[in-house]
Amino acid sequence: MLNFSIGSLFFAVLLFITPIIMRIGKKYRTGLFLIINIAVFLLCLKSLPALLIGALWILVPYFMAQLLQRASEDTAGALPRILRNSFYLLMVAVFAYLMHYEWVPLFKILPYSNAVKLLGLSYFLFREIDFTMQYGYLKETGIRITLVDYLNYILNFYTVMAGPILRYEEFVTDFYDETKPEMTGDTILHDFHRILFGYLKVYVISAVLSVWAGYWFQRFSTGAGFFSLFTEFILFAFFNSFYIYFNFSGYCDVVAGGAHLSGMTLRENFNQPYFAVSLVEFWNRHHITLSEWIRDYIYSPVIKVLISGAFRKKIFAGQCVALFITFLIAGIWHGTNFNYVVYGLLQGLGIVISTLRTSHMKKKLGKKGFKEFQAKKWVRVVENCATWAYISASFSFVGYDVCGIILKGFDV
Amino acid sequence: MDTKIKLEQVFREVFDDEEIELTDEMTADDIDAWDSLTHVQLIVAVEEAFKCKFSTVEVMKLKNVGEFIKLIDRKTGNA
Repeated sequence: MLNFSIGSLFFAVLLFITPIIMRIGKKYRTGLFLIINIAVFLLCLKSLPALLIGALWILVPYFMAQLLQRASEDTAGALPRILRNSFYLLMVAVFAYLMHYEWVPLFKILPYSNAVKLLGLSYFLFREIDFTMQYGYLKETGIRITLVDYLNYILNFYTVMAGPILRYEEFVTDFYDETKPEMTGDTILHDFHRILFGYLKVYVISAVLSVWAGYWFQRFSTGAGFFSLFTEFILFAFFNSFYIYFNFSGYCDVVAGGAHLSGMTLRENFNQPYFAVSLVEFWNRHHITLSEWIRDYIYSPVIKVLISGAFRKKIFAGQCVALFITFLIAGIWHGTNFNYVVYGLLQGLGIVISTLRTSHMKKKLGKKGFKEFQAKKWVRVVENCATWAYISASFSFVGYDVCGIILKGFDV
Repeated sequence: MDTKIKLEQVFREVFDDEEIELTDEMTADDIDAWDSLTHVQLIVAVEEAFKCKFSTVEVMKLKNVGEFIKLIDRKTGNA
């Protein structure tokens, strides 16, 4: 199995060769891109069984989308809906099994081998759900749907590791857009700058921040005394949240620059998240494509079910519950151990508190008054710092076993 | 009843504003209270008023009131 991080030689070679191949063989670029994507997929497999699981995981949704569509056209009643829901439930169950969440007791009993884990498993899931959910709409609007395009969409090696999460419609429309301006020396230079800057963010800035975060985490995990523990934790959380930003946005810069050289435009995933003045705004600026995905495919269906049922008369409460569920799921998705459950709980709780506060303030000051209050400079600074502090504290559970240390502290 | 007039009543009820007058080009930006929460509330109210169901994707793709009216007409067989 090959290492396929952006720092690997394999990725670096692809980064520079793909644009050349795609331009020289412009007529055959769809096929050429498919060959590259499949080669990456195969070379990154950990075992032969993983090939079978991977092939099923990728191909089944393509054919199921067609079947589900046919079922909803030909059959009346609740059957198509039941079929559809069962399919998504099965997808999520298989996904959870393949991810092997440590805190689910059932997964401790079931046989499992790390060798079946696929590169980019969760990002496959996001794209597959988008494709199957949108299939009817795509067909209706005459968007090009072929197995080759679907495979290029799912396996796109630029985005396979960690996004950004494109939508099928967006990917295909961009891939075949003939109105794009020709590459010039300036745009090529711009893309190279972006790649270089991305590598700088990941391998210089975030690498240093990671060492500092690790140092303060080490001191925090072995230290004693409330004041020193508190200070050590704050320093650790501060460096760690910046590490996450520089590492992830740097990665996005590298793949966005690389994809652009090959004639593809990836959607921007970051918009200066640390200037956000609320958690809601933070998620609209950080990992934007994931936020939009969870809004469309988790929040919207959940809140619709809630306010047409149990929360019919309590719409605001319904919104809070839906937000909590959405952010809890998004948090749990981030990783397999219990720290990510705590991370999800904190995100959910934070969003609910922030929504309650906004609603309370709007009632107290009126809509216009609240807007004026928020526009004040000192309010913005305070809200920005509070958002940042909360995000850093919750991000400390990402990548570090903070739960383990807290439990050890309580001697559990 | 004309879809637009009936939809206007639903809008007035959901946004608690008797002065709303719908135009085809109207979007969420034109009505202050129209955000992600009231959007779903609006969809649920429209589903009840017109006795039809919308999928997540259909709701996601709506760009303005005109498209919403077209979607309702298609769903209710008015188109």
